[in-house]
Amino acid sequence: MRITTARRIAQVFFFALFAWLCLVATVGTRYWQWRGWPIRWFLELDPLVALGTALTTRSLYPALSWALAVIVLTVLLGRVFCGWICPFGSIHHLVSWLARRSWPLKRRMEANRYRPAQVVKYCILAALLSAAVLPAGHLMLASLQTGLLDPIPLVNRSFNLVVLSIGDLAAGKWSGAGRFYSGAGLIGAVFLAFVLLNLAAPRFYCRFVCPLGALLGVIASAAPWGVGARRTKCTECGVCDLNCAGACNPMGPIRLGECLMCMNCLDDCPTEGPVNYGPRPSPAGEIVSPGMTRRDFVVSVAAGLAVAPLARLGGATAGDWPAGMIRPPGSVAEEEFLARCVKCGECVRVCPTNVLQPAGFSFGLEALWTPVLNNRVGVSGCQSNCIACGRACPTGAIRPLTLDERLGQGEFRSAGPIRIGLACVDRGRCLPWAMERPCIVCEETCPVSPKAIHLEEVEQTARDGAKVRLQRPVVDPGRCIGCGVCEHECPMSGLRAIRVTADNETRDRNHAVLLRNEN
Amino acid sequence: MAACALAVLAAVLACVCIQQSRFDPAVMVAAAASPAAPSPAGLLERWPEGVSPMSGAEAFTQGTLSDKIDGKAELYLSAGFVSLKSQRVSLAGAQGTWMEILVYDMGLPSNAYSVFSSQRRPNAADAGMGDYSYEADNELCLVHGSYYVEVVCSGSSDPARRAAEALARAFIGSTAVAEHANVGAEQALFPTEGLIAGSIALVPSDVFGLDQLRNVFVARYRDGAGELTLFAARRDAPGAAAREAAELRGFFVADCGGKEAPPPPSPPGASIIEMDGAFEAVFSSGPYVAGVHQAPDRASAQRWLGVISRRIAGERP
Amino acid sequence: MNPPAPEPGPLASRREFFRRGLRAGAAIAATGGLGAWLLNRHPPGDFSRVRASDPRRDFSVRTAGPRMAVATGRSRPAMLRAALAAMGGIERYIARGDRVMLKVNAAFATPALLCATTHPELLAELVRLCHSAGAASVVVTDNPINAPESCFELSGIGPAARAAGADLFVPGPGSFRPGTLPGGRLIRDWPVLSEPFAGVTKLIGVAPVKSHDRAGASMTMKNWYGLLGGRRNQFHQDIDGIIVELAMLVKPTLVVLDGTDSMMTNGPTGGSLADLKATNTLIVATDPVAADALGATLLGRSFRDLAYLSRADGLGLGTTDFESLHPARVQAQAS
Repeated sequence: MRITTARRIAQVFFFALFAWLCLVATVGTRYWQWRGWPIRWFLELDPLVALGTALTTRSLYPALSWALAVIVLTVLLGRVFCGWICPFGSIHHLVSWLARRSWPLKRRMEANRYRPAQVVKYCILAALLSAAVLPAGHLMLASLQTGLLDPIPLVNRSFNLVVLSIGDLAAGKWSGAGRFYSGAGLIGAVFLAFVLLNLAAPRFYCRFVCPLGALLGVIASAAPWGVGARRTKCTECGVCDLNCAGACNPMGPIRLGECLMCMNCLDDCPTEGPVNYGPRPSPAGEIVSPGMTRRDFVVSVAAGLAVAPLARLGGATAGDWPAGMIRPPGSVAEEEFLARCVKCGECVRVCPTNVLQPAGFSFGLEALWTPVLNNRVGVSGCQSNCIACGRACPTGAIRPLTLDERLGQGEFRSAGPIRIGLACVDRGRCLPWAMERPCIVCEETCPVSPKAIHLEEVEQTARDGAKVRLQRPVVDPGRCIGCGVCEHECPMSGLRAIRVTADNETRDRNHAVLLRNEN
Repeated sequence: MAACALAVLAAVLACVCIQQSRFDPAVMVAAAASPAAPSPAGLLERWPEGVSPMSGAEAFTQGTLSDKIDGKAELYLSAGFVSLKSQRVSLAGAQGTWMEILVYDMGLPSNAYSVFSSQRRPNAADAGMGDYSYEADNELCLVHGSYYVEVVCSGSSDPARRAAEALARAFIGSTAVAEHANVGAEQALFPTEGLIAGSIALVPSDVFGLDQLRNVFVARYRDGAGELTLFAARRDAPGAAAREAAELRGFFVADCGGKEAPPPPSPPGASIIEMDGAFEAVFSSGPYVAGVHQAPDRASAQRWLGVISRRIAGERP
Repeated sequence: MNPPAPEPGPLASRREFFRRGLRAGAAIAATGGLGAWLLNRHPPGDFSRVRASDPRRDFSVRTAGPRMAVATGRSRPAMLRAALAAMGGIERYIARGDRVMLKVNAAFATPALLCATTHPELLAELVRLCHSAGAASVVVTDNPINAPESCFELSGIGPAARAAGADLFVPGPGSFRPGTLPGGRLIRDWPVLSEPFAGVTKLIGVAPVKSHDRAGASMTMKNWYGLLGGRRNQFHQDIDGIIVELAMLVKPTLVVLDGTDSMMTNGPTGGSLADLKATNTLIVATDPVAADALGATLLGRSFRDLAYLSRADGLGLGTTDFESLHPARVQAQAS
């Protein structure tokens, strides 16, 4: 079997696996649901996720040990991840091929010549890593933004939140209820833009943007073997450039950091031709350096270092923390959360009630596409006996809780249940408080026992003179866990008459309303 | 080389497939938590022919019973209710006919009999299964040990009735009970002449609307043109029965504005009270307390008092 | 196109391959090693699992025994000297080479004459006396409610400390460590002031007598509130509980309770001279509970009016029966 056939099979296999793992990422026991499918696996394989979080947290989250395997693979064989495994790369590969199938040969060869702009992805990598490299904490110096352009989180959130949701509009059964995701438009637009850029240049994203590719390109310089060209028999026909995915100039000197190991050049080069895969160095020469000038490097690093202070000077992680930003249960405190969240969208996808949403810009720049709750969307607020989001998170931004810890039972009884916020009745909008009309939906639907909402009975004379007995809801902050079911069920469906804010959330002592021991 | 790569792919596929059978804790928690999820085990292991479950079995405790039967829960709760399991089943080939089987675990056979008898429908015919049973229109009710079972059909056609009986028999057959309900002894306390069929009931509490009376067997009798009720109960100790009779008499006189009529010659210690235009009679004999409720006149009260007291005397060892 | 490099000979290429293989091996080893070193087996941000660092500090001088002295007069320095002399002299408590911390009340940026904060004159004299006893260093600190710099400066504490030769420690966010008080309900995984305690061997609390809307009074025991960081205003929901836990948290060498002018109303911030009453008393004691119990009388109350006192007494953290300490009552000469 030709190596390129194996590579194509691998691309199809991993893309299908990726698509399947996205499809099944919904809580349930049937075979098309989560069961035990390793839905986080592609994210765990991603070395940039591991490196980024290792820099910001100074520790390696255990699940991300898979990334070490990919790094070892890259050290030995070069960028096989890019050419054989990466599902985003496979999409680009396919679109690029479709776009240029009918082009004349010369144009295709020209499209695959190395462009100096391919150094941009190294600059992006340098910027992202500098943003993350300084010690974090109250010095506001580090920020994890790799998730914005890291291909696996990018394709994961695009696929899960946009592509599957569009597909689900018809089928309606791939996840719980009909899924809505605020900001899906932007996520989808970014995805579409990168896919369509393949029309401008083959594998545009892989060659010019991908920071993971840049990282693997740097690591690949250690590989003992690589694609190369023997100088004998080379007629310089240029056919190796015809289908070169990485624009790495296999004729030589080959740019090792760009070679995606697609092996097309081996295939296209006539039998007994010079292009081969063998021990390095390639006889035709090799260029190991990414081609970054010192100026490029300094500018990238400076830009990266500026990210964290610029993002944090607004105070969004300090006194001006956004009260409307309710994080999923089990989230760590905000500074650590932002140091771990790669914006992969996995938690948003598995959430069975569709209450988790990718944040927009309203909670600060750093919070873009991180998960927040919106109780108006979805089927019910946050189910109090669900631990799905923490189990879906690949980096520990949301801790994998046990049910006991979530509910404050068993060994966690003294700690009490995990609160994500506090509901407060808006007495100016609540029917029994302000409008003389009975309603106790929030109290009825409050899921904790004893209920966090109790009713105060009052008899009033209504406008028409009739006596009306009203039961008015009052929230007990000692019991409320902020699940948002009340907000979801409130019949005042525009601006709800009972709303949850992130006050009293257990994950941050500074947001507490009550002393912790009041359970 | 290519073969090596394919081998790796196969290994990945194998590992992923093995992994999918080990449920993630989130999935297990969700499956355990969801009561609406169809449980793999229904109410019965094997369903009779033509009967198949429409939904999963539901379970209710003392706290949640009212979620299922609302206000009626009070009756069961005061009679010693433990738990309820119910399931809806559909009947094959019967155009949308479905049934719901409700199995109430009442804790004791007497409790089961009590809720069975106090809800007995007037035109019920004995269905001949379990310890006690009756069939009325679209419903089949029975007592089996400490279980009270109702099979409620969406229609009253013959196939539905047959299916209900089959369902009930399947339940009885598959559920072993430690002790059967047997109220024969108490039923024998009641004279047969004039007894309105099927009216013997064990009322657990609030008998005749009185707090003082609980766990009492009652039976309705035809007396000439009208009806009256006889009641009887066996208490654990003779003193208890006598005390209860005295308490009842005192209650009628002091709290209900009853006028004590001259006591009948027999049984000894009995009393007749006129109250609200009707006559009550109470007496105790050994461990039994019994009497008459709402007799139309003093003579009939006395007459029926004699009937039941003789009956009880005959029962005493 | 670059000029082609000459084909390497078989030996050279094998050497080259070996070298590259070694480099790859080293890269793999480094990756594995770095991964193993960084591997974090325990989940992050485990806020439910309380960290066990015990924040308790005991600076009491047991050999000195429980003592109390009550000085009357108008001059704070004179009263302090007289009271300490009646206690056996400051040498009984401060030894040569001791590093002394003075925990003052610098909660507000109010002028000294309003007596909402520790009086600078009193502080200066105390620093002088510590130095005279041979203290190697004296550090003055508090975690103010208002902005630290202005509190220390406007209250006069900062200038007085510096003039007397003491160090002033202004806490920052990094000065606190999470502590869990054994047996405490409230101080669990809570930031407690720790940086200025480094090397400290003696602790003296210096507080004015003030009434307090929530607690009833703010005296020497409430003074330790300044050791807490974070959003400690929550603890006002259980003010008696937190004061008792603070008494468990720290046992000072001495406390100085300044009742020269007691804030009778509108405490703890006061704001008007009319809030003050000249009670002309200064109390020095080893037992903060006893000091507060006596201080309560200056406010016209009894210790029974302050729930935290009885609770602390009940827990054996001190005694409200201050007479049992046989307090020495002295008159201070104005000087």
